[in-house]
Amino acid sequence: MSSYYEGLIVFVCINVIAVAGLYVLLGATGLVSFGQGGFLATGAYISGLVTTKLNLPFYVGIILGVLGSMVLGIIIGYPTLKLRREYFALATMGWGEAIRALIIAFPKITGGSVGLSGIPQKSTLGLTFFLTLASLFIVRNFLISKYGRNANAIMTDELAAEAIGIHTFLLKQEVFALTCGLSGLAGALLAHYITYIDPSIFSWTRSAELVTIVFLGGLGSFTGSIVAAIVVTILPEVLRFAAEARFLFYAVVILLVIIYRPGGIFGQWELSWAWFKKMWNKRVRHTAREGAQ
Amino acid sequence: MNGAHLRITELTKRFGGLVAVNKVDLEALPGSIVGLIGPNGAGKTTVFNLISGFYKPDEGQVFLDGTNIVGWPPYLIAEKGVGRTFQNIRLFRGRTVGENVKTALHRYARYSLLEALLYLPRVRGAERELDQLMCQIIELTGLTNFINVPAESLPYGLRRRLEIARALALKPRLLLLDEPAAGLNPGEVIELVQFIRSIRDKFGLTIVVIEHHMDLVTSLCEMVTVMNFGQVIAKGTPSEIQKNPVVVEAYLGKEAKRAAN
Repeated sequence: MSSYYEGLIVFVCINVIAVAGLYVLLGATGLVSFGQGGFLATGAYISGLVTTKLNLPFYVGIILGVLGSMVLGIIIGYPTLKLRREYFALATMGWGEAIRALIIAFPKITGGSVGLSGIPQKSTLGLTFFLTLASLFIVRNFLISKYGRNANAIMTDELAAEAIGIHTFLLKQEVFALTCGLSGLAGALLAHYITYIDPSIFSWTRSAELVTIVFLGGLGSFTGSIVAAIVVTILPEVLRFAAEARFLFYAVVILLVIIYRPGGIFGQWELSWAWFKKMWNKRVRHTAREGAQ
Repeated sequence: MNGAHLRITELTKRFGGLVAVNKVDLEALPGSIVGLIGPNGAGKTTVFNLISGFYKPDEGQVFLDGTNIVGWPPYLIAEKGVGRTFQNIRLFRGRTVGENVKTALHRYARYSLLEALLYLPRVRGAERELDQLMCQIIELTGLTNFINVPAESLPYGLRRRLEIARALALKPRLLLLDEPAAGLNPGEVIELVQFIRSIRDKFGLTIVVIEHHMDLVTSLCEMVTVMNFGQVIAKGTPSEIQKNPVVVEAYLGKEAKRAAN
């Protein structure tokens, strides 16, 4: 496989991990975070610094990147998750930018706005793909467990959720920690693929892109978000010939979805094996009928 | 399972200058059905919100089997055995009848977040047990035929019933019903009275009902507390209450009282 396609798949996988993580917060719990770029940066910088400055092995860097992101998520989540949803969205945007500002403010450690280079390239296609599957497995398990049901209860009616004994604040903290952990993983894998990172990669537009993907896929559809993540990552590459006009195309697609499918492309519908089987059987029956005629 | 003993003393809640609940005393003996009635805006729902922890009272105590639960967060009060329904039915929309009840059973699924994320065998076992518990509650509340129906597409009367089923999933010892008969037709009200009495008999739980329908109150409640302008104005059995001139005045005004005399 050429390195171009390999790179594209790695980027798709990294975005899928970040989107799967955000889905837990946004799609399952109904909380919008505009600061996940900051948590991607946290994972990327921790792993990058641990491997370049401390010369520790790559897997230690990844693990510390994920844990660091989670811990930061818990620290930032503690005051912000007590806010109302709208204010939480605003606060996360602020924190995301604050993380970036901190990276720029300490150039001796982080390289500042010049960036951090020489990160060992260790995110191979196989490893990234495996970690993507593992992340999807974890998120899916969360969604089908009591935690997923409780998160959904918070999303649809927080008061009723409390009335049936759900510790809403604790669950929101757990959800946010999971989301940030996966953002950290995506960031760390990105750092070890592109080998050079600077704060501009993790600006709030990156955070907004992740939120857009989940909305595009459908707030109630996990598989929808994943498909949207794949499409949105590949689309700019397919539209490369159109140069700058591709952003116009991108905007038009989003507007069309907002107008015609306000619940997202997939809405609440989930892709499943049962659906594939049904479609397959239909096709088999169809061809059989044609054959009979 | 035994009903809880609820005792409220001198409960007061102010919203700015308005005293919504003023020194309210209320007692519900284990296994009894107590009515809380009064005109609109009398502060009945506020009393429920104070018991279940959604509001913190300015003064007064709420004792549940002797434990003072004032100031506890709602989830802890629910865990302690207080289930409730809402005046404007609050179901989990987009989820089926079964899922609504299963969500409320979360306390009986004994697995940790880590076990859930890794989908260990224990999680599968616990989920299966939960499904069985869910089916029991659904059957008990007569919703078996609707188990896979989205909650919001149920007819109105059944939505009320589902909300009670969801509260029952907590295995409560005290059940607070906020206007369970609102919007029901007379036939449905009779069914509801039988239903509420049957769950009381089955679980032996204590029930407090806020209600406007006097016929429901007379046929269901053993004791009635009447509130007006945030204060308790009368207490007694339903027949005593109906004859009480203060209550008649609160409901119908002075003119009506004169006309009645």
